[in-house]
Amino acid sequence: MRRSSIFSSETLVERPQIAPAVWIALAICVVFRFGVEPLRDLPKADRKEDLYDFRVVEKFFVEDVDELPQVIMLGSSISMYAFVPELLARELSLPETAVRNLPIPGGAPWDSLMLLRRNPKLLENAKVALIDVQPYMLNADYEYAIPDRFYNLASLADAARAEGWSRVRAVANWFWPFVSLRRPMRAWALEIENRREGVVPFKKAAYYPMWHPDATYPRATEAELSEALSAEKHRPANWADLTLGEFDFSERQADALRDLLALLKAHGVAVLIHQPPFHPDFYARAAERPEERQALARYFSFLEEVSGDGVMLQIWKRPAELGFRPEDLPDYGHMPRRLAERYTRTMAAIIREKGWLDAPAAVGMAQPDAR
Amino acid sequence: MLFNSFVFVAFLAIVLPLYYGLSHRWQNRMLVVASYVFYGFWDWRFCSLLLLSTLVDYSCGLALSNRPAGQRRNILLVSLAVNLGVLGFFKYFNFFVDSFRALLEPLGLAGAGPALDIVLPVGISFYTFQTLAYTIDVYRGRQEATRDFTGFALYVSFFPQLVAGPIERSTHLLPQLQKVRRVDNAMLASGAQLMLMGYVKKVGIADAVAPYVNPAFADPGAQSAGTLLFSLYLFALQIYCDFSGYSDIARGVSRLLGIDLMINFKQPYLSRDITEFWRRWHISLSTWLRDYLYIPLGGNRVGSFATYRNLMLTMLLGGLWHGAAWTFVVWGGLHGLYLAVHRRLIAGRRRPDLPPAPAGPGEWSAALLRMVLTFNLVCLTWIFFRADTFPQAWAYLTGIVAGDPSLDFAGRVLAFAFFGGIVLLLDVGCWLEDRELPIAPTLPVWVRGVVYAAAFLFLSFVGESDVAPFIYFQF
Repeated sequence: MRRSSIFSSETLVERPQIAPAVWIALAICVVFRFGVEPLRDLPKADRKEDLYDFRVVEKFFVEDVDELPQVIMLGSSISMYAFVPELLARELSLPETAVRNLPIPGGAPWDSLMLLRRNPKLLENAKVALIDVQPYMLNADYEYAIPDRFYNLASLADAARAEGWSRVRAVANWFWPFVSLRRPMRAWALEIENRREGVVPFKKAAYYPMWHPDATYPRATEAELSEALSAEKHRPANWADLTLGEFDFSERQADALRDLLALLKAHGVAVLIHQPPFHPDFYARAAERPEERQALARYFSFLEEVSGDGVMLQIWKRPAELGFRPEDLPDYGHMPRRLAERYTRTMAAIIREKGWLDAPAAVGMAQPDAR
Repeated sequence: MLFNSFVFVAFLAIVLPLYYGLSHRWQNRMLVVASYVFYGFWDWRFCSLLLLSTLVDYSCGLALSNRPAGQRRNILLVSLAVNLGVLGFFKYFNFFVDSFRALLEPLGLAGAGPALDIVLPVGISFYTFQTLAYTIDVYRGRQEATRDFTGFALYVSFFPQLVAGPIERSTHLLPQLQKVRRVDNAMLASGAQLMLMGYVKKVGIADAVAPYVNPAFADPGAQSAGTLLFSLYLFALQIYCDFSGYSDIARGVSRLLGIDLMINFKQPYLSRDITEFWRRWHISLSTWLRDYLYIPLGGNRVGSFATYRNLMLTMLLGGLWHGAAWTFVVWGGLHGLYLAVHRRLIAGRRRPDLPPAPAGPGEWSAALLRMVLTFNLVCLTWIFFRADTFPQAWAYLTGIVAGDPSLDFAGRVLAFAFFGGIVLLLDVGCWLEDRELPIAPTLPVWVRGVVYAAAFLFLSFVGESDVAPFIYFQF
């Protein structure tokens, strides 16, 4: 067949032109793009939007509190459930405002790094940082698992470091913030309609653990906790499969953890990376499957690699090490209040023993005794 | 592949430039391939149904054109049997088996009859009706049988309107597919505007309204009367914006390809009576039912009783077309009843298809009252359309009439005012001036620019981020 019979320019009878009205619309959009930049940081009113968790922590537990903390807890919901901050403050003879529990539910090192970079005042007086870790944080499948946060907080350089479709979307979002500025009308309207009284102005904050008296949504008594937390994916064996199966080590989250530790070190903050005891079924499941065993080994070896040089690593593998019974854990690792109190006291004892709060600066402190 | 997904944007970004660079014959070939890819995104296995429908009706069309009158009827029956057989199997098999079981249950024969796990191929009702129309038109001599297989395959599978219409007639679409298309800047501009407005309706309104509607229908007994009423009004907006939004996007994409699809919606909620409503709502289906069901049944030329019977039958089957459930039959039945009553009320009076806009204050007042009444009558039928079961529909209906009178529905009133206001803004100008595009080309340039920007910003930052399928895909 001749080439000319395949190609033709007969359809478009005019050279496509952009109409003047479209130019005006484009100009308005460009002005809008730069004009609304500060709105990126507004809390999203919808619990469905994942930036909400980050911004609730940032706004109501950092920006709106004038006192500077001396002890900060970072990480994931595991820390949310593992600490009773006011108890830790009492144990360390500090005012309550000096201890700040700042984990992000579903968080990873990148989220904690963002929190500190965006809020340097957190580091002005800080002496100790307790960072919880768990394998999913270093699994690339979970990398930026909460994309809403990533799209909102990423600089253009961060966006360019993402991979594949995430990179395309993140870079596109930087130019036209269709993810980070989106506030569906539904979310605002539902929030107006469905106000609840609570601790923080954004009423549905799930920031506190379910057992906390100030928890607003959802809330569960200690007896109900197991049922409330043990969604299928959070059952110990399932959690092992989910986070260790097909484990693809995330260099970006590893870099984020290194950067986070470097930032803390530069400010003289003593760091304890900790993993509270997980349910024995988690490890039992991982032991059954070679790929999960390898993933766990990779995870631990990385933690060893970043520990030392002012960073203490404390991993409790069995509940019994802290006097917990496996049946006390409602899921793979979130703690009920009773265990949280014990865990908090244990951590307070470590901080006292190391004398981290006594030292004027933590740089050059004694090597931690890992595990 | 959903219109409101990034995959579709990427798909279009490949198809359009390719299309503009190809000659007519290759354009059609490429569009057929693109259409099958588009359809195969849901489930590639169902492409075989599309192909079967194409082969059967293409062959029947050719056979009809060169057979004596005596055999023509049998050929038509073959087409009807294959098309309606496939549709009946995939869409209605379990419905009839379940209904049959329910009938036998009082006789102690429960459990009789097979139950199959059948997946409904998306858009099957739409393309089945479209191909059937072709064969019937060839049979009636209104359409010449085409020998252009690629053109016919494209007529059946044309991706913009494949899964949710408009249900095109071969007399309108086929000639456009068989000639060289010309696209000028005016067509590009109007196509782009139709797409933009379609997305605003779907993403900005229909998807945003759904969270109000879903809980109300899920548990009507737990809602106050006001919540149920305004959720119903919001559902009326949702279904309109969802479906007409799809039609607008389909027509916009087609226009970018130089192909004109029929108008499917003409501001239906501004209708002053139910007859006018059906001339403005899902026009491609209502005219299909009129031409291929109502008129063959005798239409309105067979005496009063038969006319009412024909109206009722047409609407009952129209209801069943939407879904294999008795709630849809009741929905159609209610519309049939409305149409019959209205026909009785206006007996003997001739009236234009679409009455002109009111002239003075008196006419306006009367028109507004009639619009409100018609809207509420239509909303009543939406209860049966949206409810999954009769008990649910009944609970909804009784909840509105005799439910908890508490005043906890302010959010829904606000939402209805807000989203209804946007729909009015989009529709009123078109209704008054009988035009197609909400943003009139006669408006000053800066006003159009501001409206385009506002629509785009609304879509970008206020619309829903979740990709929700179009409601009519399930039909």
